[in-house]
Amino acid sequence: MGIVIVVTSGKGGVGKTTTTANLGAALALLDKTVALVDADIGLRNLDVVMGLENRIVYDLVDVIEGNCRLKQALIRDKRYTNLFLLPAAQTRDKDAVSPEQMQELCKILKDEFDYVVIDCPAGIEQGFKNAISGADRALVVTTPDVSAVRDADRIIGLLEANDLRNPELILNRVRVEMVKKGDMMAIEDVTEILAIEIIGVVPDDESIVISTNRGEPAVTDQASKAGRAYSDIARRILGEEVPFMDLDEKKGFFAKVKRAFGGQS
Amino acid sequence: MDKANKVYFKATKDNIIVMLDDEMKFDELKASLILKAKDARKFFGDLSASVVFRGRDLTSREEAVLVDIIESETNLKVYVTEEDEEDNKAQAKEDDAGDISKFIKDQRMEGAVFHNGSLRSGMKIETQGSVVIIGDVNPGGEITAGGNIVVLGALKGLAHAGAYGNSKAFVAALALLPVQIRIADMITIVADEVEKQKKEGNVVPSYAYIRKEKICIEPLL
Repeated sequence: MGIVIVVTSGKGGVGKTTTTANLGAALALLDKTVALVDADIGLRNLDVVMGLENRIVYDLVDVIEGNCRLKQALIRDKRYTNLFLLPAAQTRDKDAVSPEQMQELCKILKDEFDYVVIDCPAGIEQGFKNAISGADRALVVTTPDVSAVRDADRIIGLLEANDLRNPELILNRVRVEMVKKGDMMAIEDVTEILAIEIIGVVPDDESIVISTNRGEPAVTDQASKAGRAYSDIARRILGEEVPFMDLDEKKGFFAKVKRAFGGQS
Repeated sequence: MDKANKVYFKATKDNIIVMLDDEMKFDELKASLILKAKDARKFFGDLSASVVFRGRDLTSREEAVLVDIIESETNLKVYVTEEDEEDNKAQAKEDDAGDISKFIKDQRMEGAVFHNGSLRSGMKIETQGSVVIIGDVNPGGEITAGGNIVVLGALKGLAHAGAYGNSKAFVAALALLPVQIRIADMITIVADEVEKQKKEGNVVPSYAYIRKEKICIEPLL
């Protein structure tokens, strides 16, 4: 029996889809069988980020309406043989699915896979209710912005009201140098407001933009800091104790020179 | 392209078509035409023929000069034909002779649905007949047609022609760049070719159809 994890945020554009894709790939790299479910019906993106858009024949709504079997709609990833994607329908909307149907779907997927990761749409309406209905565990993604944190707080309240106790926090797009200057909320500021367990901090990283546009998850790239952060989160999901990485480690010649001369950087 | 190919002849059953380069100077063009006409002299014999100039806008004076060249270098008796749109299409079909042009000729567009404007992501057109889109089909847009699909623009979304079993249906677009093409019960992923075309910058009007149990893509010409 597997576990269904929903990745949610409330606010849009904080990195739910990127997080889902990377956690899925990271879990698959750790030899787990993983199904990613795009619950963002009508605004699907996960297939594009995974680079699997051109393989879609059937989608989640087809499965739920019985137009095809679940196996036919699941797309096997081109890199990892134990990673699958159930894409959302693009020409329908959130009302095409009910929470009960999603629950049923999650139940079936759980029997087949170690982990089912659901990419939740932004907002708190029907799409959100569908996405969380079958979940056992919730990951709340936020960026260190006041608005994103507000929305995350609202989401955590809704999750708890729906019996998803103990959601865990992923703080995305952290820029250490801005935090130091006091221009960005620090990790502690966010956790103080939200008061939930933090499971990962992902630095703001250009390689994410590149990998997203290429349709290749960043966890495959060892040089990507964000990719490493996602790998760490995947291991924490499996229950491993992984220390938080040092976001402040400086790379490059100038940083070294500066440090050698005792410069503050 | 080397110099010799800047001008060339094409013979059809009604006309001799003279393809002219659009960029070279008129004097150079004349020189190439003289060379080509000399070569073709034997081939053409002494007929009277209608000649169509293509590929370049000519003033009536320039046209007269070129006609003179053809008449003096070959034994042809030339009269110039103005080509119209109909003619052009028919010509294009004949130029591309073979089973492909016949294939399109056999298709009838009965009860086509016209869609004016682009089909954006999430929009879907579904019809028993054929579909003509005057605009683009963006990624995430879908067309399902019982008949043919013609896109007068870029097709980047999903097109399913002959969706109810007609394996003779085709998909045509000015820029055929879809993620997937479906015809009847066949599906093809065209991403690799599309990437190649985009990289090389030679996206040409094309159409897709089923030949020998496979979805083929050919330029429309």
